[in-house]
Amino acid sequence: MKRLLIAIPAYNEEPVLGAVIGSLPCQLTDIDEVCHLVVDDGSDDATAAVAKDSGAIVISHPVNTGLGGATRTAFAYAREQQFDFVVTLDADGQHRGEDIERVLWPVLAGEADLAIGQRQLRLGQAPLRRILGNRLMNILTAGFAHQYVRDSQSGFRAFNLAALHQLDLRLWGMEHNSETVIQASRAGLRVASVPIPSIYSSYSLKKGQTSLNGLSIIYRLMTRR
Amino acid sequence: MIILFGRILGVVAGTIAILQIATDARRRRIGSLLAIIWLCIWGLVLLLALFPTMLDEVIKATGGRTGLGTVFGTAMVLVLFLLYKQSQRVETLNTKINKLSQNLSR
Repeated sequence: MKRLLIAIPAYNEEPVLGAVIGSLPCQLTDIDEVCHLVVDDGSDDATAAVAKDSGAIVISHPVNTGLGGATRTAFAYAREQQFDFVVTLDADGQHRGEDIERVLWPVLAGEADLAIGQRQLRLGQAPLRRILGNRLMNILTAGFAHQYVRDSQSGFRAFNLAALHQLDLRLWGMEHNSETVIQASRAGLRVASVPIPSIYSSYSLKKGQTSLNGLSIIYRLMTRR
Repeated sequence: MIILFGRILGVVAGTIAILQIATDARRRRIGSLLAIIWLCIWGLVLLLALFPTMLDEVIKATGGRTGLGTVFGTAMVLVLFLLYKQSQRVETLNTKINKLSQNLSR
C-alpha cells in the first residue's frame, strides 16, 4: 500500500489557502491513499481555520519558525505516520495541484529520491529581479552542493522515504530550499528536475523572497551549524 | 594614560574574545564559518590595539584629527564585544524558541 502526504507550509495565507487545498488531488494513479497536511507556521490570521474547513490535517506552530521549521514538522509527521512519499508545495497559489502527479512521477518510478518542480521563469511572466535572483541562488547552491539544480529555490518537491530518513535538515528559514539540495547531493541521493508552469499573481509576488532575503540565505548557508 | 588604557583594554578584550570564540566553536555553539569571521574581526582589533598608529593613519587620510584613533578603537572594542555576545545569545534563543514551537505543535 502506497501512501502520499501532500504538505503545505503556510504562514498568513488565509486569502488563497482554501483555493490551493481545493486544487489538490484526492486520488492519484499508483497511490492508495492521499492525505493533505497544512503546517500553520504561527500565522496571525485564520490560516489554520481555513485549512481545517478545507478538510486538511492541520499542525499549528505557536510561533513563526520559518519555511525550514514548518517543512521539518511536515517531514516528522510523515515519518511518524509512515507515509511512503511526501510532496511539498507553496501555499501562495504559485503551484498547480494538477502538476503533483508529474513532479511525483520520477520518485514513484524509482528514478529519483528527490524531484524538484522546475518553474519556467521567463521574462514577461516573472519579474527580471526574480529571474536573476533565482539564477544567482542556483549557482551559489551548486557551489555548495557540487551539483547544478535548475530551480534550487522551488518549493514544489517530491521526496521518497529514503530521502526523508537521510536528510538531516537544520536551517529554519527560506535557506531550507538550498540546504535540502546541498544535503541530498552530499548524501548521494538522486535529484531530478521536472519542468512545471508557475503562476505569478500579484499575491504570490508579494509573498516571494526579497533581495535582502537572498543575502540572508547566503549568510545562513555559510554559517549553518 | 588614556591611550595606554585603550591599548591594554583592546589587547585584553581581544584575547578574551578570541579564546571565547574558539571555545564556542569547539562546543558547536556557533558555526565554523561564523567563528572564522569573528576571529578575523577580533584579530584586526588586536592588531589595532598593538599598533594604534594604524588607525590614526586611516583617520588622517580621511581628514580627521589624529590622536582620536585610540578613543575610536576603544569604543569599537566595546561595541564589538557586546555585539558578539548578543548575536550569540539571539542565535541560541531563536533556535530554542523554534524547537519549542515544533515540540508544542505535536
